[in-house]
Amino acid sequence: MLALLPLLLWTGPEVTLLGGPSRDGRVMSNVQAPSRELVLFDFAAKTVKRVAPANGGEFAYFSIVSADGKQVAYAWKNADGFYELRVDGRTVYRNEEAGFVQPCAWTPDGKAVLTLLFRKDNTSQIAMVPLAGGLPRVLKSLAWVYPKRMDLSRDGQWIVYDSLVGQERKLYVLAADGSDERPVGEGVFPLWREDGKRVVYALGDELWELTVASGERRKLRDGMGRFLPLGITAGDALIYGLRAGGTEVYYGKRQPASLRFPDRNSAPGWSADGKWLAYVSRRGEENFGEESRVLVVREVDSTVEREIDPGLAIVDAPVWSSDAKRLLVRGADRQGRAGVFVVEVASGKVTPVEREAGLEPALFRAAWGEEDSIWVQRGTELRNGERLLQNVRSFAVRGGRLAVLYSNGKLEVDGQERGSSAAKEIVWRGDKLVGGGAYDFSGEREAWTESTARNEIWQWELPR
Amino acid sequence: MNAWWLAAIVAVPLGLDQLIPAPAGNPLEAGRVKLGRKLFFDKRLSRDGTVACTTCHDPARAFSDGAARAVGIGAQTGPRRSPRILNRAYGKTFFWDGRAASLEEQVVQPIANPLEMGMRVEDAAARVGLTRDELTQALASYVRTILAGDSPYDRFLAGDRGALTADQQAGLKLFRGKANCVACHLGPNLTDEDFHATGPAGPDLGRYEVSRRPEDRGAFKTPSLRQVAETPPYLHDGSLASLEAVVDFYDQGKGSDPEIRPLRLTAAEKRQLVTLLRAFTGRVQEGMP
Ligand code: HEC
Ligand code: HEC
Repeated sequence: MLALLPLLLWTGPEVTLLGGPSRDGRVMSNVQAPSRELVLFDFAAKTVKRVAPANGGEFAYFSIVSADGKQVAYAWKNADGFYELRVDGRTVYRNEEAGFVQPCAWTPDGKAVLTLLFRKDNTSQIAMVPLAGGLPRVLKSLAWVYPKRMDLSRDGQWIVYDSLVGQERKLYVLAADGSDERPVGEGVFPLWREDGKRVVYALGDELWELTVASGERRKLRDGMGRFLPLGITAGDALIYGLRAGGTEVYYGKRQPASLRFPDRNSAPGWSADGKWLAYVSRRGEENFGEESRVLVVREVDSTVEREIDPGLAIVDAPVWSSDAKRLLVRGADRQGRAGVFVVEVASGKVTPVEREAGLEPALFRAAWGEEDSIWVQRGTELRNGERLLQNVRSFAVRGGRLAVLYSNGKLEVDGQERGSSAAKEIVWRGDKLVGGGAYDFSGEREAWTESTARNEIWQWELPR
Repeated sequence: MNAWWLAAIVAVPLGLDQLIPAPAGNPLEAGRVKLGRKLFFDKRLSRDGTVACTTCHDPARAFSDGAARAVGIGAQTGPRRSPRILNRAYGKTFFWDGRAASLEEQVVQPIANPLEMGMRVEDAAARVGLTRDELTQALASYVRTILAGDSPYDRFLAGDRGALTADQQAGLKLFRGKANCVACHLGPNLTDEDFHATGPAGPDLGRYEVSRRPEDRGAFKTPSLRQVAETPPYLHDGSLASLEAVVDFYDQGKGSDPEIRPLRLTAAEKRQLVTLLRAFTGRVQEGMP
């Protein structure tokens, strides 16, 4: 039998994959980059229809098209700085305590949307959100881990979702009324096929299928790269996103920093003596998400390169201590608490400096200050979308324990207040928090990230 | 399907999952729940007919007993406090040290425990005209229907910003931030269902007795904080008399768990945390409506 070749439907710098196809496969919702406007791509006519324009700090995120192709449900970052669920411009669910929402599937009658709610205490919840108002029906709560994807069978009876168990993503089938649930094995990004009996899902760069009742599995395709199943059409065609290209760190006269793993690197930082470059590098066949990032430290005048796996869920923006023994990073731990961490270069040991549940890592800025003290700024996104300075704290590492030196205008040493200190002692350079007290800018070196990454949307007829 | 029917008529309190997990071999079913409820109140399950499950898990006291240590037949005192048995359907392991892997495994142990009910499980079952399996399944099913939710905290999470006072909201911020409580007390049931050494190790080695891992010395299972204000004294040994004492205990940060450290809370912050803990008190429901 001849397997049909996949068909490229759409690509371009504006494609983000934060959307899904209509059942008839003619259109797909997408949140445009970089404007974050919500649009519909019409694949045949090659036109783009605007649905919800971004507006200052307000913009669209995940989106899905209703079964009849007439409505789009989407996450909307509102003027108050959290995400609410909207349908065609109308707010259908808004709750700061579930400040991030991911709509995943419409019910067949179009009256509710299967949605992931992310609570501030780091739990995610599988919920049915009624569109006519009223409280969501929370079917199941998951601690720390969240499904990458879930889907509702065509008859609206069964949900399939993935969840992290230990180090593996496992699939579960859950009754839509919350009466029953069973595990059905390994996999990620599950979608129901038209027959409501089979689920297709990803395993690394392979596409697999599971017949739920019998537990029978078969591989449908391999070598698919970093792909993301987006939806299955009424004609049983899989629409999927593909992340092509990559990002690389360069320094000096555009020399690539990586020796072994090109095209998957970012966030360079130089040591004070200019000998070492640290950067973040992706590992594994992860499709999407940030789970498998490691830190790489590279001695630039040699081929010495070391990999540090800090065991954090997210790691970003490494900054060297003056003695080049430690890296300050921002990120999130495995329990999803975002903040700032110190990583010992020799041992990989991680010490949290400041962390809090329910925040995005990007809200944190950190820098080394005098005598290897640490400055942390926790920003808050405010109404106009601007990041405001809030909660500046400084820590000193003493005998392995962190002591608060400065907190919101108060200078403290080991918990004892010692007069006050003004925020002007914190040094900024452009958008970067550089540290507390004096800082020497001389001798700074250049290192930067270049990206050829782009998203593509493909269609592939699933084998019968 | 029985489970479906039960889910349709047991209205799960606000804040809890609709999915009430039950093993395939003992799905929730109305008859078993009703029988289990009778047994839970039945003193014939103890050797001398003086003690029922309710002696230590009193529905009027959030299914605990108000004593520092459990008191069983012959006024014997056991080594640990009777926990509130609320929302245990969502639990992963049972007892303070997690030595039982399911409610089916757990519910018969107090019957056999010489300090609690002191009777062979088969004999107890025979006394009430049941087989051991019938007894086990009924008790476990009933325990699964003991649910607590619909507290001011739940209403706040559901979007009612007025459900918590300003002090309680400040307490919630501390709970999730500076005081780090959320590291272990999280989710609908305010527990990670895991084991932690929160204080200096005492004579009871806790989880270590089960796992034999050195880091589990003095570690106990994180209890749900639902209805916590109703059941002093606290901890596995009832050693702390009040919520204020519990907050002071965490403020000192003497446990070996990596999430425990001195918190340097101000007096006002401690008070805010305590008022938040009171907001975890809501409605307890049990059995079939
Ligand atoms: C004498 C007092 C006493 C009696 C009677 C008693 N229990 Fe308990 N129960 C306890 C204590 C104490 C613990 C904790 C023991 C431990 O962790 O070692 C406990 C633990 C439990 C737990 C585990 C809760 C959790 O979160 O891990 C359940 C469930 C339970 N009991 C149910 C019952 C049932 C059902 C009965 C009747 C058959 C019963 N108990 C009778 C004192 C009692
Ligand atoms: C490292 C995990 C962890 C952290 C962090 C933590 N707890 Fe606990 N909590 C537990 C464990 C485990 C117990 C049971 C300990 C015992 O019985 O010895 C407990 C018990 C309690 C109890 C007593 C409940 C009862 O029924 O006896 C209260 C109240 C409580 N914690 C509140 C808090 C508050 C408030 C905070 C934040 C200041 C907090 N916890 C932080 C794990 C934790």
